Formats: sequence, structure tokens, C-alpha cells
Amino acid sequence: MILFIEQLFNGLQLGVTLFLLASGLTLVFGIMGLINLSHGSLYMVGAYVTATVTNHTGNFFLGICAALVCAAILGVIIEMTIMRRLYHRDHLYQVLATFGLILFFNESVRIIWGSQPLFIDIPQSLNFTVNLFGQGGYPAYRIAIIVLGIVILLALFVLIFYSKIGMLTRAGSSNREMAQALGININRLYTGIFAFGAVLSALAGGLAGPIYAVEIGMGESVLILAFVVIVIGGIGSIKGSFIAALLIGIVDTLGRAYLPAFFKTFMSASDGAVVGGSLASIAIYLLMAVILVVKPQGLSSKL
Amino acid sequence: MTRLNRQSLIIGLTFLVLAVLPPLLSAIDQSYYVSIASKILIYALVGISLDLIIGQAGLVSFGHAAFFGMGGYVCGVLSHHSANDLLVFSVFTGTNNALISWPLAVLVCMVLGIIIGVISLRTTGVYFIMITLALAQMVYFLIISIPQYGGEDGLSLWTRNKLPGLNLQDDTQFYYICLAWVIIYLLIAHKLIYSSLGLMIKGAKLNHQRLIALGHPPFKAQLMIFVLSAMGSGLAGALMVNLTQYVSPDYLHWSLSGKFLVIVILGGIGFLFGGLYGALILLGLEEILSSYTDHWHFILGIALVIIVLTSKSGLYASLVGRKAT
Amino acid sequence: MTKLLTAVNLKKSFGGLNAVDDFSIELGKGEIHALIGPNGAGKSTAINLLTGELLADQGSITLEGQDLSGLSTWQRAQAGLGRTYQITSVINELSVLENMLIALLAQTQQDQIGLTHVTKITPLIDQAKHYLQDFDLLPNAENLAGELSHGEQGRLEIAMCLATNPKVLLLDEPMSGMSLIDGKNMIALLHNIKQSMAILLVEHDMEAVFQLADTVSVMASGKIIASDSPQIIRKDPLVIEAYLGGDDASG
Repeated sequence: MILFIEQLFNGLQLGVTLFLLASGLTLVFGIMGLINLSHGSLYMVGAYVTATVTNHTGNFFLGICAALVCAAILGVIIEMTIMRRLYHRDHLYQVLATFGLILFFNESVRIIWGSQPLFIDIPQSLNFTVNLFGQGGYPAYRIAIIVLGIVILLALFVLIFYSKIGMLTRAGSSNREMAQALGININRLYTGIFAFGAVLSALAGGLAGPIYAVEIGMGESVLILAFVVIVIGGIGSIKGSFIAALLIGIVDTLGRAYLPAFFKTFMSASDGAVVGGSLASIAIYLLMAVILVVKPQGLSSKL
Repeated sequence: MTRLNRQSLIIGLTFLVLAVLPPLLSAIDQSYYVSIASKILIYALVGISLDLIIGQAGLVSFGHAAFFGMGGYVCGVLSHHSANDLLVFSVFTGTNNALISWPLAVLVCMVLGIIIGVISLRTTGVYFIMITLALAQMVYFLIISIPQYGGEDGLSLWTRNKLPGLNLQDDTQFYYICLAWVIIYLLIAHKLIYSSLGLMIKGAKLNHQRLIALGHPPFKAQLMIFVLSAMGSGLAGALMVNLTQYVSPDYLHWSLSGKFLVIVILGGIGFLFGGLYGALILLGLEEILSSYTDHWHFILGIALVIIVLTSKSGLYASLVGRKAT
Repeated sequence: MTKLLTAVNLKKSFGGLNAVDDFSIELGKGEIHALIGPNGAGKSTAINLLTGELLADQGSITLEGQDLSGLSTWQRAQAGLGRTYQITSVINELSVLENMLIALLAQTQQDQIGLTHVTKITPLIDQAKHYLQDFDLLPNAENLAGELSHGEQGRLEIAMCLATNPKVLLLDEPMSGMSLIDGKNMIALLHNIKQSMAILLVEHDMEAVFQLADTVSVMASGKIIASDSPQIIRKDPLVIEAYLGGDDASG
């Protein structure tokens, strides 16, 4: 039982990481109509900058801040030089240009940091365990990520539905001309949204640093999961992304934890491990397929 | 010169060069390049099959590596079983006979194409791109989770497949086999495009709403062309594994799906024949750049962005003097 | 007169606003039923509800006794609903002949779909050319549909619909933006084809409406406020107030 709760929390933590990534992706798609494969590259850059600054200064929070600043600057530069020219292009060309950016970023990281993975220690202040329901210890760091994710979700909702920027954004997405007539600088707004998505992505990368290895290509595997999330959640929907992210995080984590053991109960140990492991690795894709068969437009079609 | 003449001339010249390439290369003592030319033909086959669905049906698949890799794995696994005298699923014996391996590879990709197609074709546009990507990723994880087949390391093969009357181990003979397949596939694709089925597929791409209102949902026709495309890429995968004598999970990797799209774009969307030029440019670039630097992806990445931002038609399209559709 | 299409109490609201409310209509064979009303009255929405391109919140639709309510758009089209769009919807990038071929292949000649080179299916080509001849489009057969004039495109769209042998034809402003001559041709055309089917005609050109229609229904704010013969509708004070009187666009 205690293991189950631990795994459930691990699933939540993965879900929150996915949400941070997926929310930027889905905003950029929902508002600007851009499919951005290189979103995962900012996740990777966020992790690398966090690792470098943390390992130099010994201060993880400073590392995260540096990553966010870097991502914001990069986001603005990428948007103004490249993405802006892609909004009205066919999705195929968006895919290709941002695929090119992935190659560029991966190779740049290899040139700057080398091919060896980096590691980050969990910050001292969060390096303890918490008793969950009176028994066992669960890392406080992972709980902090979950809490942070929920805070960001709430902040996003307030931002989108109750702030002036959010209203401008919604106006801009539904009616570009009207927004411009109202004196909104659409270009600046779009740059801001893109950079904001980049910051969220880098935050996810930085936070994941102490848990997973910081390595080249880390962005893409998680990006594809984020795609699964936004497909399930309904493209453009923040709320849908959140639900789908938690769903994917939990299904993936629990599947990996329990499916091999489950198959071992009625198969030989080695066969069970293979079948259970295989099934666990594709569980989320099966989930996606099932959801799409039932609801081709995803769970939610509203913002 | 009219456009049509120019196009026929280019196609004719290209095949002439392709036909005499191996003796030409051996005459200048560069036979090493024969196997690179085979690789280009194999990638061209994928490019052609992928352009078939992008150019004709407007379906952008970001998961064609799944078919390429699956075709390769079927061949590789059969050879692996045959070499080690193991039974497949404890039932079949393996085989090294191309006459069994290749059709089986294509058949498995047909089934995989039907499965992925049925799910993905429920959606369009960006959804379609992402779902083909995700489902291909599923195939990738499924295969690397099977330790018998090398997991993330892949499988090395002792020998290429056997084809009665031919020696595939010979690079020149293998090259001509690849060339033959490219020509056969081009002819099949050509037949489809100008058929009534092809016309319906084109109509659905250009005005989906009109087709629906006429009472003709394009699903069945789209599935057919999707599966034909999957089969072409699967065959290419089987050839690739024979060329390299190595089955790598890289053949299933999403980044390869991305490269396949690059080939289509470089060749020009809607110009089946362009796939040949797309593959030539991409692999040529790879060959040249990688001899200068390990970081050639850095240059390729920048080049891709610039190509997308500056041009709208592919190289082959510019050669024949037309804009890509 | 046999009733073909019957819609009862169709309703559709978008976020609280009733776009179509309590919409009931009967279409009979050989009859042209005109649907008029000011912009935003819900006429196009009503057509979309009938074809299934929008799903009704409530109400039922039957075609010759067959319940269409649960069917998707293409299934309703196969059952016999043909439609044109306010913005003419042909396949601009293909030739006029190819458009016609697609329309024929869509339903009536489905068994011809296969791998045969399309120009070698002689009976199909002949039939397509026959339609084009009837609609005075044969000289344009090899031109792209996108290069046709407005009137020609409208004719092509109707020809494509007719190639599916519809029982009911839903026409969304077929005369809009047409020259006077094209409009006159269209009136003659509709008059010719009406015998074998039921036609719902949404149109702003009042002259055409009163010339063609056997029944006229008037919509305002999502509801049908009057439905009768053209002679009576012309004099209905409610209609005049809601629509005819205030709208200078009407002839």
C-alpha cells in the first residue's frame, strides 16, 4: 500500500512536469497556430543551465532563476527571428523548421557541454523526506514539484481568465483584426506568449534536473509525451492538458511499477518481465488511442 | 522547352545515370560509392512513399520510421532466428530467403499501416501529425523492450538475404535490386495517382467538406493510400537492413521520421520523383559534412530553418520549373 | 404532393443564444420551398442542421420515413440530401471535368472507383460530359474550376449535387453575387430540375423567390414566423415589418 501511494505521487510529479511542458505547447498552438517541436529543446537548455549554475554556485534556486532568464531571452530571440515567419505557414513547414531547430540545439549543447550527462544534487533545503499518511518517507523535493505545478495551474487560470493580458490573448486568438483595432500590439503579445511558454518549459527542465540525468535528447522524449498529453487533453486547452498530464503521468508510472509484477503472477519470471515491461512502455499510447477512438478531438475543446 | 518535356528529359537522364552508375564508379575506382548510392535509393523509396500520402492525400505522417524500422526488424529477426536456429514465437523457423522475408516484411507493415491508419485517420491536420508521431514512438518502445532482439543495441546480421539466382552480397547486384524496387514503386504510385481512386483522394485533400457533402467520406481511400505508403517504407526498411547487415532501433527513431519529411520537402511536395533528389541532397550533405565535422547536425539544422524560411518548392520542383503544390 | 423531408422542432443554441428555435419544415417532391429572412435569422444554420454539419440540440429529421437525426453528414448525403454552400464550394484546383467525375464517383458510380486510369473509364467520362453539356459547361471542361466565373461555378456546384441523384436539394443563396443574366439562367435551371426532387431555397433575391417558390417561409431571430404561398406572404403585415419592409436589399 505504501509503495502504491509512493508510485502514485511519482506519477503526479511526472504529470506536473508534463503539464509545464504541455501548457506552453498548447498555448502556442491554440493562439498562434504553431506546432513547435523545439519546445523540448528549451526544456533541455533549462536543465543544462540549471545544472551549470547550480554546480558552480551551489545554489539550486539561483540555477533555476538563471535557466528561466535564459529561456525568456532565447524565447524572444527565436520568436522574433523564426517563429513569427511560421505562423501562417503550413504545419508541415512548421514541423520541418522546428525539427531543424532541435538538431541545432542538440548539437549546440553537445558543443558547449559535451556528450556526457550532467547531474544536479537535490537542494539541501528540500533534501528530506515527508511521512505520507503516517508511514514511510517520501522525498520533499518531489512534493515541492507537485505543489509548484498546482500553483502554476491556478496562476495560469487567473492569468488567462481574469487578467488584462489574458483577455488580450483571448481576443487576439479569436479575432486578430479586432484585437489590432483595439490597439493591441499582436506581435509583441505573441512574442510574450512564446517566451512565457519557453520559460515554463525551461522550468520543467530545471526541476527535472535533480531527478533525471541532464543529457542531450532529454527534451524530445518528454516532448513526445507532452504531445500525447495535448492530443488527449484537446489542443489549445489548458484544463484538458492538466487532466491529461496527470492521467499520463500516473498511468505511465503505475504501469511501469506494476505491470511486470502482474504478468509474473501467471507467467515465468523472464516472460512476465518482458511482456509486462513492453506493455508498460506502450500503455500511454494505448490510452491515447482509446481516447481518440471515443473522442477524436480530445477530452476538452475549450480553453 | 515545355514543362512536360523538361520533366521527361530530367527523369530520363536521371534513370540513365542511375542505370550506368555502378560500372561508371568502378571505372573510376570508386566502387565504395555504390553502397552509398544504394542507401540513397532506399531513402528515396521512403521519400516517394511518404510523398504519396503528403502530396496526394495531404496527410503529413511524422511516424514513417515505424514502418521503415518494422520492415527492417521483420527481415532482421527472421535472419537472426535462421542463423541461431531459434523458433519465432516458438512456432515458425526463421529464414534468410528474401522471397519469404521481404514479402513478409511488407505484409507486417501493411497490417501495422492499417492499425496506425485506422486510428490516425480519425483526425486531421496537426492531430494527425502528432498521433502518427506518438504511435511510431509506441512501436519504438515496444521493440526495444524485447531483450531477445537486442533492446537498444539492435541486432547484427551475418549475411544479407539470399535471392535465388543473384548474389545480394555483391554491392552492384544489390544496387540494381534497390533501383528495380524504386522503379516498380514509382510505377505503382503513378498508376494510383492517375486512377479514379487517386482522383477521389486528391478531391478529399483539396475540399474535404465538398466530398462529405457529396456523400463520400474519404476514409477508405485515404486508408488505402496510407497503407500503400506504409508498405513502401517497410520494403525500404527491409532493403536497408540488408544493406547494412544491422538492425538498429535508430531505424524506428522519431528523428528518422523527421529526416524522411526533410527528404520529401527537399524533393518538392507532390513530385513523387522528387524523393530521389531529396534523398540525394540529404544523404549527400550528410556524407560531405560529416567528413569535415562531427557536428554536422548543427549545420543541417540551420540549413533546414533557412530552407523553410526562404523557399517554398523543392529542388526537383525547381529543376522541372514548377512550384510545389 | 408526396412529402420527402420533414423536420420537426429543430433547435440549436450557441452559448445561450438560440440560433435556430422550434424550426419545423416539410418539403414535398416537385416543390420549391423558399426560406427568407434578414441576415443572421438562422437560415444557413437551419440548412447545416438538416445536413448534419451542425448537430441539433433537439428535434427530428426524417427523409421518406427514414430517421436522419443520428446520421452523420455523409450518411445523410447518401440518403439523398444534396446541398450547395453560400460560398460556392467546388474543388478550385481541379478541372471542371474532374469535379464532375468526383461528383459521379461519390455515389452513383462508386463501383468505378479503382486503379483504372480515370480517362480510360469511357462511360464515366461520357456521363460527366453529358452533365456538363446540360449545364452549359462543356466548353470549360478542361479549365480549372477556380477559373470559372461566379455563375459558372454555381452551375457546376448544382450539377455536382445532381450527379448524386439527390431527393432533396438544399440551396444556400445560389444567386448571390451573380450577374443578371447568370441569375436568370439559374432561375430557369431550378425551374427545370424541380420536378424530380424537393428544393429548399435560401435566397435574398426576392424577385427570384416569388418567381420560383411554391411555398415561402420567413425566418426571424431563429424562428419561422410565417409560412404560406408567395401571394399571401407578400401581403402578410408581420412579414413586411420583420423583413420585406425594412430591407432595401430585397427587390
